[in-house]
Amino acid sequence: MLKNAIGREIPERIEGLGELTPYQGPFAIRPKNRRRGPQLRQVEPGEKKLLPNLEKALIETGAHDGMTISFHHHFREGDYLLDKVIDAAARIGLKNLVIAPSSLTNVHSSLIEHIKNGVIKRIETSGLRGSLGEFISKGMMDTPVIIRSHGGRARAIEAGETKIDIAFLSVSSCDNYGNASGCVGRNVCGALGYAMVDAKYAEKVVLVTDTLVDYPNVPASIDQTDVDHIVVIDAIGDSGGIMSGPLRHTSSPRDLLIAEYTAKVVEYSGYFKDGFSIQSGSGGASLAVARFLRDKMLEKNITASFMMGGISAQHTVMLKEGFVRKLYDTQTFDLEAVKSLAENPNHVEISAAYYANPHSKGAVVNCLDVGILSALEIDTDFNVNVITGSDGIIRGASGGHSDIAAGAKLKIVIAPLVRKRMPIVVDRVNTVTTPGETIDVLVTDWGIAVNQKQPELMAVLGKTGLPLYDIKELQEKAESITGRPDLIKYTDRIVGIVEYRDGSIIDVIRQVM
Amino acid sequence: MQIKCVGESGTTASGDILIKIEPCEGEDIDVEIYSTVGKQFSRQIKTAIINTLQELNVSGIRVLAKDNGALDYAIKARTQTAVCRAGKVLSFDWGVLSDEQNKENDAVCSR
Repeated sequence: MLKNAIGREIPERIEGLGELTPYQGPFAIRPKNRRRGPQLRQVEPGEKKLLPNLEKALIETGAHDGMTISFHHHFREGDYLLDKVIDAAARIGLKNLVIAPSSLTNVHSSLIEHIKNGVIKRIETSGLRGSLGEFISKGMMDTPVIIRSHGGRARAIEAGETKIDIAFLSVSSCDNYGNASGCVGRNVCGALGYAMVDAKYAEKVVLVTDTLVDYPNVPASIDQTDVDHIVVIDAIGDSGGIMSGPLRHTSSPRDLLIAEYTAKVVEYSGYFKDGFSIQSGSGGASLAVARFLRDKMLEKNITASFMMGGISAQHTVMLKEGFVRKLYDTQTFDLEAVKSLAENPNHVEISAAYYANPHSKGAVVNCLDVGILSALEIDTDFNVNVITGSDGIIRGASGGHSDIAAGAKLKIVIAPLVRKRMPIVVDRVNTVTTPGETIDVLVTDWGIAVNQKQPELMAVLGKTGLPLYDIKELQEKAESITGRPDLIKYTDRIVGIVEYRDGSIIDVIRQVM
Repeated sequence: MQIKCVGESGTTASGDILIKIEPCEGEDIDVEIYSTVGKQFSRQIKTAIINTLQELNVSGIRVLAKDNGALDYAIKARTQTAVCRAGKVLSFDWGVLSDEQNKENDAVCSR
């Protein structure tokens, strides 16, 4: 075991995953390798790409035991494809598959059966929820899962660390030569930002759609030059599902108080001026922050240069009204926003690599002024956990959290001090996904704490009348309300490793007892 | 206090607890807890329930608690109400509360 730069014990190697590099700091690892693309291929004039079903696609693309297949999660809780492909793989007898979806949601609990019966051997993902997260946390897989941020996944794919043999990508519409869109079709999902990376780097790319349209289906998010095959099925997913998951609209006084404090922190921080840029998360309070800022922008007569996210209807309304000039969209969060992406040229679809890959010539996160981030837990070193619940069970997603925290100029974590009796500000988080050195401010409903590494910001906010505390005081306050929680009991067995965006290991997740 | 029938109080909403009390043979207090934060807090939830029952001088009962992250004061209040309902008490004698509880109440009132 080695201790990484934030004091977490990391094994030197793990059976089935190989050597691990401990986390050394947000920009400590410099890339040395080259981008790794797929084998060149020549599709000749007259060749057909359409195949009748998923089994045929698996066979045609050379599916074999132990290979890696990837998916995207743009349909979130409405995804049908992942289950269908794994079922098809099971039917043709494939075993020991590595699955590398951009994330997994509650709908993917059926994977448990395929882990038990040996079809799936290993998982790489951003998130895990529901009974699948519980199953893995209880130590039911032989090889630990790899948790990556969205930028980290793009990096791993481009660097050839995640070698995708076949990408199965559901697309809302497609022509018979592989030009695909998420904005047109029977079941739309909007941006295809995660899928765009897989399409460029997977050995074989199979697009799956329920809406086959006339050639050419342009503008296309994934284009014909990257696509091997196309399969048409009855339904790829449920558009309604993109709205579910963690998204909430709030009227909660607690969320509104947090949002009000946060908007003030942004306003007084020095970054709130004409042309500023901001990313806000998908939680209720995050969405409310944007509403408060809108009023302040009116007051000061300024506009934002760009916003990014998770793009929801609220962002698109601000775009239409002229509060913001451009929207960067990797993943679209509701149907209003899908419509905007299809119609508004200033609402721009970008890939996960463009958004957040640290080993590139500059991802969008580097250009951000303000990042508003959530937390399941945050500790007195400002380390944030967004992957395991307070009970130690995997029930979250790394997402773009650590990417934004590394890239943006002002990184604010917002969270209630107490959530269902659980203190959210703690001595030590169960799992670190984002290192505290990349977080500047914590805003809770009981007060605000500024990271000691930001003395200037502390001085500025000190003059505003906002309720500032040392983060240790907030931690004590939380515990005085809830009582001191009994410690979660873990075994020594590692069930998951959490990669930092640069590929080093920031923490491991152990089996809960 | 004499327990005469089944008494229930609370909800399973976030931050609340549902307490069900029923009489049983003997002098024991049997507490069963299902909690969303059980791993970290079932010990403290049990203590809060038992302390409240002892303040009200109640025994020979079975308690079923379904907790969704209630804080101690909510657990106490729900338990008191469930006891009163199970004892068919129509007006609560605030004097039976411990000095400590009365002090807490005074503090809240004077805020």
